Amino acid sequence: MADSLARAAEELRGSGSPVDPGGPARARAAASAPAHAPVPPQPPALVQGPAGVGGTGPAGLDDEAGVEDPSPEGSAPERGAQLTRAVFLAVVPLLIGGLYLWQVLKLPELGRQVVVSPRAWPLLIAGAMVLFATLITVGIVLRRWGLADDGEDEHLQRNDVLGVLLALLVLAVTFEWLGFLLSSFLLVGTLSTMTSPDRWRRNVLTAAGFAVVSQVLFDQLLGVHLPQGLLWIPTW
Amino acid sequence: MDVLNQLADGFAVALQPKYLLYGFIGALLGTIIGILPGLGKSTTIALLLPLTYAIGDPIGALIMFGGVFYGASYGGSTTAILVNTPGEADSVVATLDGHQMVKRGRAGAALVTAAVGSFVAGTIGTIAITLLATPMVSLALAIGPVEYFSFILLAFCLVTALGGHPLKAAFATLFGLALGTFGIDLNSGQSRFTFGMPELQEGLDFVVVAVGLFAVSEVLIGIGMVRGHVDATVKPVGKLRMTREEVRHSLPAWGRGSVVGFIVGILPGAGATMSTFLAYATEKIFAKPTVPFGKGAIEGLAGPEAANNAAASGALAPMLFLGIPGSAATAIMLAGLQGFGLPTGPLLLDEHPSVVWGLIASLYIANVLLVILNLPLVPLWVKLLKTPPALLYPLVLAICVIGVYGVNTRMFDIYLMFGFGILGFAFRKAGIPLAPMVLALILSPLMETQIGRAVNISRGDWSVLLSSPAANAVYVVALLVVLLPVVGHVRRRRAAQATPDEDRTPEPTHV
Repeated sequence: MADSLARAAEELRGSGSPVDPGGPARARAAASAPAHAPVPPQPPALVQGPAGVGGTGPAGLDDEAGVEDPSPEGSAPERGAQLTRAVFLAVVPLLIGGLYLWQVLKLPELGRQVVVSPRAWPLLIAGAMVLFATLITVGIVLRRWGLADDGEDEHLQRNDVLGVLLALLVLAVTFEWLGFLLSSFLLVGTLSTMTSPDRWRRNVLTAAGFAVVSQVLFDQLLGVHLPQGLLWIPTW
Repeated sequence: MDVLNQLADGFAVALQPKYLLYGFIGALLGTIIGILPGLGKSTTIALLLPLTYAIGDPIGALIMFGGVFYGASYGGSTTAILVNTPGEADSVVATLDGHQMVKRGRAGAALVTAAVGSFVAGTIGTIAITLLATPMVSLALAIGPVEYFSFILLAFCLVTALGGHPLKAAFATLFGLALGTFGIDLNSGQSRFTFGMPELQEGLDFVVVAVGLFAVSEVLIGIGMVRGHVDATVKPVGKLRMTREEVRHSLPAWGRGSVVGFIVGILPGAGATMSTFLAYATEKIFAKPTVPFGKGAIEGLAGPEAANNAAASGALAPMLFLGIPGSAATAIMLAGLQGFGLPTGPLLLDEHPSVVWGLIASLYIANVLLVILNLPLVPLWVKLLKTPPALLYPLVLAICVIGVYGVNTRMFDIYLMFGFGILGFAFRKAGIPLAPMVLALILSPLMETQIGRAVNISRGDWSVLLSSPAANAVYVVALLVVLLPVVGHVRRRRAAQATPDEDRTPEPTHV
């Protein structure tokens, strides 16, 4: 995320004016490589993530910036990312909207009189969801409105992301059996060594220190009960 | 005078040693997370929330969150200025002129103008909240369920129009509303979308969803980029001092930025990021043509930094007094209040004035603490910048597990968190914004309750939603907010089609 924000800053400086990096600037901005990050230039991702709703303008509907044919200068990974995004947007919102509508229609009718049925509000939402999901699908299929143009396009190491997902799966299965101390040690140690194998001693020490400090701080002092698992941990 | 008495009571609360400690912890944590990538205000508050339940003190929790809220803005600016890498999205504009000042050897002046500007704006913003408290609450108590529903609808329309691609933001909002219908319907007692799982009887836990969507997705993206990371290099800071000329140029910029920031911050969906861009544009309008914006003009830093902090105050106003959050961070704070069993909306000030005035007073104190913390501790913040992301992200993930497991002490929440983490990751890659989803999740039950009340009062007549002139006026504004971008787009297209190709100029980029 820091690299995304740095790239956004570089793009703003290059344009010489305070542009909204979520708007058309994003479509044109990818050329300048940031000075201190060796990843391929990608559009910034200001609107996403924990910073809250960002300030993108209405340019998402601008056809001139929104034509989904990748520019001739776009690299293969960028075109691939855009295609994946297009497929996702064409299918997933409609699937979610459809599933929700199906579940709403399955809600049983009450045997008694109520002024506002428990179905009423969900039905309104479901109808609107299906409508907007359909508009998104139509927009993707007809290549209108620049729907597939924005998104977080950072070049990610796929194996590392899959490694995180696998680690989470293992954690979910073993958390209560192994206990917090062992499972957090394994989680932090494994993930940090996966991405930084040459500093494994630092990673192991940090993981061990974190696990012990967290166990004491949260479980013993703050009363956030964490599973003991295989280890016996004295309480005071 | 009554407001001053209430504020004095608030100070009596906030100056208690334990609340001063909470405020200090919040300000420190906020500055740290503002500096470090990977965690934003929303994620940090979401992670802290279950831990504050363990402490069991709602006033302490709110004071700590207020400190985090303000502190994150300070911290994000420090990295933006020193390293040209904003720690928060709100701090991107600070890189335009702030880092240029560093290159010209004016790093100390840049940091001072940012810190003092944030202090001035935070103070102005907090005074504005103080003055707005009673009128906003009076307005909220005077309106009925129909008007309340219309305000929430307007908030959603603003979030949709300002929060990314309108269609995707609208879908995200509706998805959040849908998630908010899980669990028992408050009107009829009917279970909805529980799929036979008792864990879903009370609906989806907001903290679990927020941590999954924001923090876990951030970790997935962050770890995927660790191998490409290059450590930041930081130039020497030098003396923390501004010249008289720099102060003279900064003063009006601080004032203008504070006003712009506060007004924009009140608008749901606008956020501090938009306020900083607008403040920068405002400075360019008011400045002389010779001012070198983009090359180290101090006004280009002073105005946006003030706007950043003032927007944080502005965002608190509708959350505290109307119960309508305008951002993911304030939505999570609102969820925190609900988790403590406190009423949200206008009744909060009415029934628990010590909570609200204690928080407002603590914001004054947090502003002072942050100026004290930020400037002398710059060398420490510089060291923090070198935290290896290979360690940072796994630690964040482990903290997520602690926080979420601590909510209900059950594995179901961990699975849910991971599921939403993957969903958040996928949505972010697809450009579907997450903040509207979180806002809608927290407001969905409130919206349904207001509709239920209105329709119940009218004995089943749904046209009651159109019966109030005030509400109708708000609906019209909401419609305009949604339609104006579309109309603008259509007019631009027609203008482009009417202009011969050789006469066309490139589409201007604008805020």
